[in-house]
Formats: sequence, structure tokens, C-alpha cells
Amino acid sequence: MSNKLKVSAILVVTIAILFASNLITKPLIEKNNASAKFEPLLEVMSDAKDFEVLYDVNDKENSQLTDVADTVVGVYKETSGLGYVVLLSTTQGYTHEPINFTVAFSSEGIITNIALTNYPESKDFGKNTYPQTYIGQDSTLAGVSIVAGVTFSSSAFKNATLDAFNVLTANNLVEAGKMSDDQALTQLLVTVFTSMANPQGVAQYEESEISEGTLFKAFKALNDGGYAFLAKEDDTTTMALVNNDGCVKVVDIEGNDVTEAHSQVVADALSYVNDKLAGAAKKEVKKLSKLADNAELTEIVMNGVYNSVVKAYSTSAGDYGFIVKTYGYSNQVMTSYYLIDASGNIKAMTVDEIILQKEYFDSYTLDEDSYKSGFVGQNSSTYTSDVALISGATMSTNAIDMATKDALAAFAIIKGE
Amino acid sequence: MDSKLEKSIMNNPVFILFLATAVVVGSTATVKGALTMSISVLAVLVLSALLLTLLNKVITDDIRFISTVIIVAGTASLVQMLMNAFLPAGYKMVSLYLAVLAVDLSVFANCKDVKNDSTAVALKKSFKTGLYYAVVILVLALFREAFGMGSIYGHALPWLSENTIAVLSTAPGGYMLLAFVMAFCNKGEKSTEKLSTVLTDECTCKCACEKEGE
Repeated sequence: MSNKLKVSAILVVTIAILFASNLITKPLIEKNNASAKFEPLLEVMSDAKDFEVLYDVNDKENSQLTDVADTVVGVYKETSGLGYVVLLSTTQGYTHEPINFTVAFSSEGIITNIALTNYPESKDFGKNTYPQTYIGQDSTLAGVSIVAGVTFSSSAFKNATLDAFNVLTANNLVEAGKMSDDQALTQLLVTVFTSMANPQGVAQYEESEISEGTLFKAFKALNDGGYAFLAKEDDTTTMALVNNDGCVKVVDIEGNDVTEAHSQVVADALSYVNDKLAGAAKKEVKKLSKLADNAELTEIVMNGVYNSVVKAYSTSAGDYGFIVKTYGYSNQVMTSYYLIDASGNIKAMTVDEIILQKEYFDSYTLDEDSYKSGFVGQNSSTYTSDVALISGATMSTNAIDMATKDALAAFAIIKGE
Repeated sequence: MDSKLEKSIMNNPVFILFLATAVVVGSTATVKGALTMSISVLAVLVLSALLLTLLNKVITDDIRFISTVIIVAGTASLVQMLMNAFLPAGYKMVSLYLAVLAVDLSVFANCKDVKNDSTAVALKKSFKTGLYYAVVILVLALFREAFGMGSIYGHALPWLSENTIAVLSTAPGGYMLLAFVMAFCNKGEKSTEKLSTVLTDECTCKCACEKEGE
């Protein structure tokens, strides 16, 4: 046999063996590759037998699901009935880099497991602990909170999880959870007492369990704007709002004012906040006085004012002064000062620092006098957000916008308009 | 340690000739990867030695080199397919380096080493070579995973998992560790002398790289 023939024979036999081997191993390899696709899902649902793809962001056309938010990357159904797994990715964090995570839901609509797969944020919201607080929650997510100081990222995480619940409930895959009265009132807080939230509506308070008569939970506004309490009398749960002047208002779960019917709650709330309320700092009063051409200031009790206004004054010149604290860039508290005449027109305004963290906007210059003069003459009928907003400094000027609206609203309440 | 065993491990082609170090560094980041690579190398060594000795009478010196290339490439591809089918988790970690086995000089060196042996002797030699190779890369992997990642076979180790030497789990760290181990194995001997001994006595890489009969 010639050498050429021998080499050819070895080559042919080798190819034949590889061909046969390929026939045997190909189905197994394909099966392995298919299950590898579901590996991230198995991380949160280890007992799963198999998954059915209900939604894949790369193949949206073949999905029957409706109401799928942009944060939802994939929705998978476990075939033996264990529940659902949703892959999520949100860019609404502080850095706008994608935060990726996977959530497993039982067929009853309870979160059974959660895994954070990518967290690019510089501020840690508790990578190993915060996602775990979601386990056991239903679609109300009532038992989870926003992490103080990392509000953007923790809010983004919470909102994406709500998106996952929304796609499951909207398509009748799981039943929506029912909010308890406590949960409904907590959710109501940011709308009935705006000191408790930033202009985006994200909660800005410290929450603590207390035991003070009828009160069982306290919320302290991070801008020193006051407190709120959950209270229980018999079977009725209500919420008491206490502004920085010690005025109390009690609301029910519909947001109705039920103060008169709950005098004990009012007494308990006042007892708790006794000497805890922050007055205005001397330098703040001085700044407001300077804005009012050094007129003498007299404190006005802010009865009925439950927004970001922390102090109100009347001036010896017959005007009204307001100190307002809202949340600006990176949720830092911004203090604004307003002088409003007796007719409700803004006479002057100023802010401690109009654009917080100026170095961040180092290429930006603002003619502050011109900006402030834009507010002069505005009243509740004429003022629009366009007066305050500056493109490129949205977070800070949103805070000024909110402060202006709250000052005008406080004036109207005080004047009984 | 028994001097024969010590010699066998220390005179490993990885340590003496720096053969296949890319594969070694790539597959020793984790113990699981090293184990998969050990099984694969052992299988390729034994299978190719078996086929070559069985075909010893057919393969003349004129066609030995090309036949060795075909057989080693064939067995490496076969092992690659089998690992992908039956050990997918391990395969995923070292798939790139499994493909490299088809042109791995340490495998060719072994094939050259057993060319005149009987089938039984060739299998025994190949098995031992594969086993020593496994010992070496498993020890490296244990060290790299324990100190580089703070775990063993994926299980976190107390204290170490909080105090890792991250560079060890990277390729530069792997090469640095390999260099230290090689320095230890070659201590007291002039590397040129040892290299010369290996090249003449064991005729590994050099012979494999040369065309047969020249």
C-alpha cells in the first residue's frame, strides 16, 4: 500500500469516527445549549423543570403579552406550575447604566427569589441585602422602602419590580395583591404631604416603628418639614400629618380630612413631636429678612399647610415671607425664600444655591439676577413651570419650581383663598 | 516524596519546557476548569497513543508526522465533542483550550515518546503523563482559586473569600504563579543543563516539531 493511500485511509477513518461521534453528541449538545439559555432563570428558581418563553425583548413580535414596560427583558413561565421568572433591566438609576436583575414569582403572585446580576452604581444600596427585602412581597410592594441617600437607584429597582408585577397582573398570569390600609396610607403620604417627597414623587423620609398611644409608625421628612404617623383606633387606621409649626391634620385612606373625629390621634402626634420640630435657622430668617429689605418678621402659624414650606412670616411692610425646603440635585435639600405681597404676587425670591454642586455644571454660567427677576410679579394664576426650569439643570430647577408652587399655595391657604 | 515520582512530576513538560502554558494558565483559574482539562488531556493522550501504537505497522517513518497530526487532531476533536455533550459545565469553562489540544506540543511530545513501545507500555506511559499533568494543574488551580477567588470548587472559603489576591485569578497572576513554581522546580540546577537533558533524554518538543526522518 502506498504512503498516499495509507494517509488517505487514516484521514477517512478519522473523519468517519468524528462524523459518527457528531451524530451521537449533537442532540445532547443542542439540549445543553437550550438549558444554558435558562441558566439565569434557574438561579432564582432552582427547582424548575423547564421554561416556556412568554416574552423576549429580542422577539417581541411573537409574544402575546400586553402592557410590557421597557424595563422587562424577558418573561418565562415554569412549565410544572412553580410560577414565573422575569428578567429586568433599568437605566433609571443614578448613573443611567443598566441595573439588571432576575425575579421569581410564585403562581400566587408572591416574589419567591431575586438575584441582582449587574449593579454599576457608585452608591451601594445594599447589593447583598436590599434585593432580599423584596422576597415575600406581593404586587403592592408595601413592605419595601427606598434607601435613603441612594434614592435614584433604589427607586429604579423598585419601579422595575413593579413593572414586572404589572405585566403579570395585566395579562392575568397572577392576581394583584390587595393593599392593607397601612400600605394605602403610606402610598398616599407623598401626595398629601409633599415635604415627604422630591419633585419626582420619590419618598424622602425616615421611617421607624414607634409605640406612642394610637401611633405605631413614624415618618420624618428629610427636609425637616415635619412628621407623619400611622395610627390605629379600634379597627380604623388613619394617618396624622404634622407640619413644622406643629399643626396636625388626620386623613383616612381616601385622603379625606378626618381630624375632628380623631382627637386622640392628634394628641398622640403632638405628644410625640413635642420639642422635635425644627424651627428655622437664624441665618435663614436673616436671609428672608434681607430679602424683605430688613423688614421685621412675625411668625405665622401654618394651619393647613402640608407641603415643602417650613416657615411662614408676615412682614412689617404688610408682605408675606416663606422659607421653603425642596429636594434638588442628588436629593440634596435646597432652601428657597419668597416674599409675596398682600395681593399674592411674588415681590422677590432667592435660593441658597440655585444650581447645587456648581462644579458639576462647570461649563454652565447662570445670570442669577436675571433668573430671579423672572419670578417677580408672578402669582398663582400666572406662574408656570417654564419660569423656573433650566435645561441642563433640571433637578435643581425642578426643586425651585416645586418651591415656588408650594409658597404660592401656602400663601393662598394662609389668606384663606 | 519518592524520587521517581518527584522526578516525574518535576520533569513535567510544562515546568521544564514551558510547553502548553497558555492552556495551563487558562484552565487553572478554577478547580472545575482544571479538572475538566485534566480529564480531556488524559483522554487525548491515551486515545492518541492507543491509535498510534495499534497502527504502528501501517505508519512508516515517512508518514509518521502527518499521521500523528491527523490522529491527535481527530482525538482532540472527539474529546471536545464528548465533553460538550456529557460535561457541559466544565466544557464551557475550558472550551477554547480544548480546541488548542489538537496542536498541543506536549501531546505531540508524548506521541513521539511512545512510538516504539508496545500498546500496553504506551498506554501506561501516556496515562502516567496525563496523571502527572493533572496533579500539576490541579495544585495550581487549587492555589489560584483559593487565594484568587476565595473558594474551592465554587464553594466560598471563610476569611479567604473576603481577602482575595485578585491578580491570581487573572492570566498575568497565573503566569506569575507558574513562574514561581517553575523556579522552585528548577532550583539548584542550571536551566540550560536541565533543558539540554530533557531535550536529549526525553526528546519531547524538539522531536515532535521536526519532520520525521530528517
